[in-house]
Amino acid sequence: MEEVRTELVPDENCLDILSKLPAKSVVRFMCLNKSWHNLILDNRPYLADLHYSHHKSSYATDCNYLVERVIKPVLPSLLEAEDDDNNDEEAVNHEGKSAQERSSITDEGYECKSSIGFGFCQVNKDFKVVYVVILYDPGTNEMAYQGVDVYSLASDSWKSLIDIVTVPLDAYDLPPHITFDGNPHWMVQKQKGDPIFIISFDFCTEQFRTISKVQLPGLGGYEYDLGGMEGMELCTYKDMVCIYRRRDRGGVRVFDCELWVLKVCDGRNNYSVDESYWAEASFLAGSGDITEVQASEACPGSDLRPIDGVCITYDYIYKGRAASARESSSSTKEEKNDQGTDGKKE
Amino acid sequence: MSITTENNEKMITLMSSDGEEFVVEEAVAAQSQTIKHLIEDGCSTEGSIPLPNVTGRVLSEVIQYCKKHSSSDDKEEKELEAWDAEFVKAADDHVALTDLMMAANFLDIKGLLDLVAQTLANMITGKSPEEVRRMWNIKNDFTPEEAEKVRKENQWAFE
Repeated sequence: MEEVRTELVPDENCLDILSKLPAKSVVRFMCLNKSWHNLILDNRPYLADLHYSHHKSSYATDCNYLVERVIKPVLPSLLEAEDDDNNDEEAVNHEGKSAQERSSITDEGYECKSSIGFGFCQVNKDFKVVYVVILYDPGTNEMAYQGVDVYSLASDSWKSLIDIVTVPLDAYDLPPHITFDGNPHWMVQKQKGDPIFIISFDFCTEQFRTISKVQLPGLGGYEYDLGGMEGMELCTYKDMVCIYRRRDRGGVRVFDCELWVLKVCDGRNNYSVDESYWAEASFLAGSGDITEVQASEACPGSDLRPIDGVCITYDYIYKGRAASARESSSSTKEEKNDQGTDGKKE
Repeated sequence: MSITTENNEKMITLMSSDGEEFVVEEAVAAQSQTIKHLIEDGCSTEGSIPLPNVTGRVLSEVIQYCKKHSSSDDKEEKELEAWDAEFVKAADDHVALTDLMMAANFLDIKGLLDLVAQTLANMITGKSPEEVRRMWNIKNDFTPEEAEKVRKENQWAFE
């Protein structure tokens, strides 16, 4: 191993630095030279693990980015490969378009909804993808079929969990997910008007979990409230899962929004519903450009972060379009420099 | 022989690779796990402890860090953080930081190693591979075909 080494930095120090970089930079630096390339490849589980602990919050956004830009485009071909291997009689559900469109009509006239989750299993230090397909009869809204497949990077293979796990609640829709704490989370509702729940898929046990019922506060007659999940989306904020609900003040450049912050207590994956709370935040279109806010709303899982009391959403998909928002939770209601935060980015 | 008063702290002499000697309190030197073990093994009883991997310039910075961190307690965390930030800023460029990181690694001072590694990581996060190669004098030993292949496989990281 004495060939070409990094001139200035010994390997062990490279790892110290690499462990503190975002995943994207690490991958990019595989191109530096052979020794970095091999160092990163050889230490993938170690780096993934360190990474995970160093970057809990940006990790979520990295994951969402990966799903949108890396996994979704190649998913159809991955699934095809699986179908070839297994000769799966349910292959009809894995048609490529469902992976990309989320919602489509199958030959039998069922409505097909699918969702892809990506995350990290801390026990086996393995990256995994979960692919969920649900078929409905659009007439009765009855679920006809659901399938769950899991891909593991370590084994580079898919396995089907049909008949082993079921998606809780016969969710009538699976909106795009966010990754938090290594596992994908969804916000689901059985029917319009029914309670809304947060569910997650645990990559270590390969089971779904119902995390929490969403407590909706008094709505104050906002017109969007149709009992569904319109205007709501799951996001991460201060290393916590939360739901953000927009209150549109109609045409003005200010969006009021409510954050329902799900408190995590005693370590990993334990949530305390009682301590969860709604916080209010106002979103201001950063440069006065309303599309910026809309863009980040269109992107599930945009990361919300507090920076000097100002919430910054950064949208990895619509890279560079950051919207700033002023947080006015609990007692602090400062009316200071809204303009000063314009254009602030991650 | 026994030391009882606070100010009567036992002193240790450290010698850098270029022969410079530093006399520091044992508690300061023991921030380094490497030196701590050497002291425990009785290497400090006679003369100075030689540190063949660390130059005097780097060692003086390391000692500065250790002094600060041995005299502060947890309550002053905020102040310590600010001090750390100033400290790495003073180290100035990536070459000095890299030297400092290697010394921290050899001397086994976890806090310093983390601090410097994080600073260097922040420096290179957004940089292109080409910029990082230049920064650390890293020779690109991929053939053009290999380079293309690696780049293709990881295209998303360049977007």
